[in-house]
Order: sequence, then C-alpha cells, then structure tokens
Amino acid sequence: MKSAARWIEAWNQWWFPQSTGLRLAVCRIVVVAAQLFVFMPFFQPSLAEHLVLLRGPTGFVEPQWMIALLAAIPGAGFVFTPIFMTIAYFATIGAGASTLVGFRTRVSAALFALGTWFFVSHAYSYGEEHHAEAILAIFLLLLALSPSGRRLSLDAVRRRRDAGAPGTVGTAVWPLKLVQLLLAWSYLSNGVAKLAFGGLEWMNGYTLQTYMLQDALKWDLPLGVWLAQHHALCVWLSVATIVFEMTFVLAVFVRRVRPAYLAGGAMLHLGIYLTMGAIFFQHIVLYACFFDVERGAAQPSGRYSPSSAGHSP
Amino acid sequence: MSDLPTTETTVTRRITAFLLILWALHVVPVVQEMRGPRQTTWPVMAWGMYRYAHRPPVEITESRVSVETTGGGRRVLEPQDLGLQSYGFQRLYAGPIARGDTATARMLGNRFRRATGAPEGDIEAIVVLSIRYRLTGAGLIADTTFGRFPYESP
Repeated sequence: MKSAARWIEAWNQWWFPQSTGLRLAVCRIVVVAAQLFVFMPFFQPSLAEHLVLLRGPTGFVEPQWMIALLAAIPGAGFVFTPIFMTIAYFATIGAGASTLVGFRTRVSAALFALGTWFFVSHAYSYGEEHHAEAILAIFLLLLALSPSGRRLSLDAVRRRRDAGAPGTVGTAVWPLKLVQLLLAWSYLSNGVAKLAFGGLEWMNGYTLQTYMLQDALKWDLPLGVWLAQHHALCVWLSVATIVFEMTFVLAVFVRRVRPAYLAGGAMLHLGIYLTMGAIFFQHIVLYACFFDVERGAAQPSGRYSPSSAGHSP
Repeated sequence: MSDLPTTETTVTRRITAFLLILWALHVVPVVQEMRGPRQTTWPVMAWGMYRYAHRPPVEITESRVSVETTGGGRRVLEPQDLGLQSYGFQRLYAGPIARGDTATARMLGNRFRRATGAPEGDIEAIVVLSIRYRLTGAGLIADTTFGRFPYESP
C-alpha cells in the first residue's frame, strides 16, 4: 500500500505540478498561430480543394471514423455539402482566432479542435492519410480540456479585473507533458517499427537511398536526388535517425539533453522536407511544449498541491 | 490521496483516466501493426513510416496512368480527376495497374467514366507508363515500359 501511495504521489507530482498557466498559454499562442497562419493556408487542403474532393465521383474511399459518424447521424446530405463545408471552414478560422486571443478560450479551443479534426479527417477519407497533424490536433483538444486561457488572454484580463491576480493551478502542465510524451512515442514507435520490419538492415544505407530517391523524384527535389546517390552518407543518416528516434524520450525526462534533441529533431524534419518532401513542421512547432518559460520566474516548488489542482478556469 | 477531500482529487483523477485511455488508444495501433494489419484511424495511428529495409540495387518505379479514347486520344490521369489525392491514387490504382492488375485497371476506367460522364464505349484502354530508375556507379539510369489494358464498359 505504501508503495502504491508513493507511485500515486510521483504520478501526481509529474503530471500536476503547480503552474501559473504561463507555459500553457505561450504554447496555446504558438501552436494556434502556426495552425491558423502557416499550416491551414499552406500545408493543408484549402476550402476549394475540400470542395473538389467532395465533388469526387464515388465519394469517400476509406472514411475516417469522424466522417463516417457525421455521415450517419446528421446525414451526409446535410454535412457534406458545399454550403456546410464553407460555413464550417470559416467558423473554424473564427474559433482559431478566438482561441489565439483567449476569448472564451476553452469553448473556442473546443470548436477550433472540432473544426480541425473535421477537415483533416475529411481530407484523409479519400484513400490516403498522414501523420503530421495528429499530435497537433490532439493538443488543440487538450487546450479545451485545460486552463489554457488562464494567462495571456482576454479571459485573463477580464478575470483579473473582476477577481484580481490569479494564483497557481495544478492542471496547467499535464497537456504539455502529454504532448512531450506523444512526440516521444511517435519517434519511438517509428524507430521500433523500422527495426521490427527492417531489422538492422534498415541502416544499410540502401534503404534510405531507395526511399529518398523515390520521394525526391516524385516531388522533384534535386537535393534528395543528389543525396540518394551517396551511399556512405545515407548509412550515417540512417544510423542517426534510428538513434534519434529510439532515444528521443530522454528529452522528456532529462532536461540537460533537451536542447540537443530539439535542435536535432528540427534538423531532421527540415532535412526530410528538403530531400523527401515530407512535412513534419507541426512537430517542430510542438517542441514549444518542452520550453519552460516559467522556470526561474515566481514559480512555487513545482510540487503537486491537490488543494488547487481542481481549480481550472 | 485518500485523506483529501473528494472534490479536490476528482479533476486529477478524471485527467488520469483520460491519460490512461489515450495511452491505451496509442498502444493498440502499434501492437496491431506488429501483427499485420495497419491501423489508419486518424489521429491515433501506427507511426511506422518507411519501415521496410531495401537491399541493392537501388531502384524505384514511377507509374503514370492514361486513358486512351476511341478517337485515339490519350489523357494522362491526375489524382484530382478521380477525386483522390496523390498517395491514394498511387496506392489504389497506379501501383496495382503497373504490376499488371487488370481488375484494378477496369475499376479505374469505371471511376473515370463516373467522374467525367464519358459515354459508354468512349474509353478504349487504360495505359500505364512505368519508368524504372536504377542507381548505378555511372549515375541514375531510367528505362521505360508500357502496359495496355483494353477497357469494356460494365
């Protein structure tokens, strides 16, 4: 029993330390701004492209669960129409803007997450799906489930006017820790899959040359075509990739190694983009969850304090 | 936590339950992937990308699919023509057709007809152009092969 109590205490200390909510607020602004101003307009299908998909000859190929659900309950004739999609698209942008400035933050974040999930799910219901948006979309949902508007928001200004300066809460860090672990999980399970399916042979250099050549030719990327012709370099890059993916989890628990892993991850994703055209900039943006802007500021001991854990505006 | 008032621990307990459920959801596709079928339910997916090893020689094949009409014209198909995106088109149609799958070629013709409203008998054949790139000591070498699949309306 004593041992179980110690585990629970350690769990609570890790997930629910006291925080002013500043870290979460900064991440809210960074991630929502990136989704609104970078990913939605430049890296995700536009409204026009969604409407083209909608007009496809045979409808969905492999509908995602959310799309299947919406097609069944309100009905495909209601949801999957140009007028509904157009209204939903602009409502999503509006909810994103509202989340960004922190107006009715949790409700806005819920709507923004819902809209983002809807449009990504729609794009991935036509026979292809990608991973890049997954963790970012989960983070948007977490903003709705946590006190993400407690700081740096219109909500905070209004609350301060009415009730004075806010204290600390124990529920403003867990979304950041969860994103850190999800990122680590994405890398680790990717590394494990490579070793399980390809074995150590995955690092023979030929593997990376093949994948790189395939994508570089498909997307017309001269750097990728050039790099794919250098076997020794591809061996080293393969080894570095596996080491990075299998050990990224250290960045979650060992603060000293964090800068090296985040810089390495940013370089990895940028390199993959330039040589293979795969876009994982969402992961780089989510690295914001590793930065502790409250550290050194007026932060209490960081220990779990259940007396305020439940108060999450 | 047992000596704490219930209301103060309720939130953290709910979050804990949420975290455990979310983790379980993330473990399932990875385990599933190891056993064979790949789970593609967004956003909780198996993360194994580019996971198979390749041996030399380094070679890849690109496929371009066209529709040949009765008048002798030929139209290169783009994924958008069929209401698809790039990888979906490659995975569902171009890849299998390049490997000689006649049934998929017929399905593609049917889909194209529905998409464009092409009249019956207007499509003569589905043609696939496969370009095989091979990396050699002298650089990249490409050779091309054609496949032609006569099409009959269903």
